[in-house]
Amino acid sequence: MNAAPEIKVQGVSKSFGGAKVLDDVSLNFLPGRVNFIIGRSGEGKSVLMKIMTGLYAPDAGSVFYGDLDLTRAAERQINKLRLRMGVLFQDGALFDSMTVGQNVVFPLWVHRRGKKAEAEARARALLSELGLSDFFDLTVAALSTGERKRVALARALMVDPQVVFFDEPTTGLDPLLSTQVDELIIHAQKKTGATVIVVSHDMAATLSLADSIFLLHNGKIILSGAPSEFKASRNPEVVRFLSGGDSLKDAEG
Amino acid sequence: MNPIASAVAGLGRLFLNSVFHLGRYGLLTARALLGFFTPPLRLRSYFKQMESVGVDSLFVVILTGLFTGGVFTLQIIYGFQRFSAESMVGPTVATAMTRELGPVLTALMVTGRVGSAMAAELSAMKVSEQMDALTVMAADPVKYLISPRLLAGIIMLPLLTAISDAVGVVGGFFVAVGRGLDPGQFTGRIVDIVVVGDVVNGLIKSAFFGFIISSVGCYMGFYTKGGAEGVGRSTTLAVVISYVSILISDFMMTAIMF
Ligand SMILES: Nc1ncnc2c1ncn2[C@@H]1O[C@H](COP(=O)(O)OP(=O)(O)OP(=O)(O)O)[C@@H](O)[C@H]1O
Ligand SMILES: [Mg+2]
Repeated sequence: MNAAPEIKVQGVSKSFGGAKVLDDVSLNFLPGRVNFIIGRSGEGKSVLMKIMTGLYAPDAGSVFYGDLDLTRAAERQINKLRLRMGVLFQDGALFDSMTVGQNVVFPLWVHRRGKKAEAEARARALLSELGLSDFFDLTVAALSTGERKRVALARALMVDPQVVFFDEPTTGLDPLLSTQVDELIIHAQKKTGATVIVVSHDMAATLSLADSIFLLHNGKIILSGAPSEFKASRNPEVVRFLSGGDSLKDAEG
Repeated sequence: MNPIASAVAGLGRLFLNSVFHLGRYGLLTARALLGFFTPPLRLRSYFKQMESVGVDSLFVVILTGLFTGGVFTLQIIYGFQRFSAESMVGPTVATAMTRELGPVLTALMVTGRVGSAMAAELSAMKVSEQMDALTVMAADPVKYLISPRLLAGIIMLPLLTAISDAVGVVGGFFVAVGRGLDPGQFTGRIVDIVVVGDVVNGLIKSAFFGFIISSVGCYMGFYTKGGAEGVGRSTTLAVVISYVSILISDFMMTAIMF
């Protein structure tokens, strides 16, 4: 029921005021699978995600969803894609003027999609899967960082997405919750067959959950492949990243 | 560079800057106006804005109107009594309130309360990526955030102004009676002298002020840059620019209308 599109990034470059963040980056994501993008802080992972969701225009290159080039498509066409796209921003980006429940049903509400009662029931179910059963009527301001992240995750999953982007879904969560969120992501992927693209610093989760991994370094993808290829790689940057993953994450908070 | 050249360059830059901002402001406002007519409309957001512009400003507008009418009467009553023109006190207060004081003071009060809040709210949404979140949900931030604020300004300002006009006259009435005027003397000739046009033109002015307050507040918020500091800067600018625009456009509209 859910045809996940093939997503390809081709030759994308992006600079901010002279600093080149992405330099001729090309990626092929596995459709209907779990793809992880890793890389040190400030390497441009979030920027890449914003280019792929049409928020930033790249200086050069294209982003294809099937045959549609997002960087050249009309707003109307992009919006059609977005109706089946779930995005979790790194800091959640919840609407603070609304309650938790209003936030989660928002993507349906704003387009008058579906019935109100059904949308609310679905939102409650998602929230309780994320351990937030009694949060529906709370205001967003009252939430902790980890709670915000999970509400944002629920909001991203509301639209029954074909493509989902998660920017560091487990950063800031305790280990138990991290595992729970990882499981939810995998579960949602299995259920919907969506193409999942996760930005993460959590190497253990990346190696165990990913079907495909991309390592971004100095504006380039320096290695892409299955977890086994990463473990086998002799590339010094990859080795350093895999072995030092945890201490790096700690050092950078 | 010599001083004259640099002055010319500065003026040139100022000019280009103004053209840039005016152009961008015009486009944003046009998009927001279009938003009224592009389905699906989410009325909840419109009602919410009307409440925050209108209902929540009621108290300060009433207070301002009451004291303005009162102090205006205090100022004029002595002179009018000296020339035995007591019967003109009421009509003068009513004319001043409906034509000028009601619309302008209401607009200034609402700018301080609502225009600044719009700028702050939108710029906070901008820097915390809430606008981006709207965009990736295929919800146009202009249509969803700015259109309701714009309409609320245009509709609620005349309503608030009408209330302010009325309360101002009441304030004037109490002061006049306190200063020894007959109640009948104050009210007697108001209806003869104040014409419907005075009231209507005042309300038209205030609808335009409402448009200025919302559009400037939203513009400043929407194009904020640079974190928390940017939020503060947009808020201040929104208030200053709205004040100046209200006073200048008031002069121009008054010159045309009356
Ligand atoms: N809108 C912007 N304007 C200017 N510079 C930007 C902008 N967005 C990102 N950058 C810069 O691009 C670089 C990459 O940022 P990005 O947020 O993509 O890093 P990241 O890989 O997601 O890091 P982290 O793991 O810490 O989230 C940074 O140096 C950042 O300062
Ligand atoms: Mg990031």
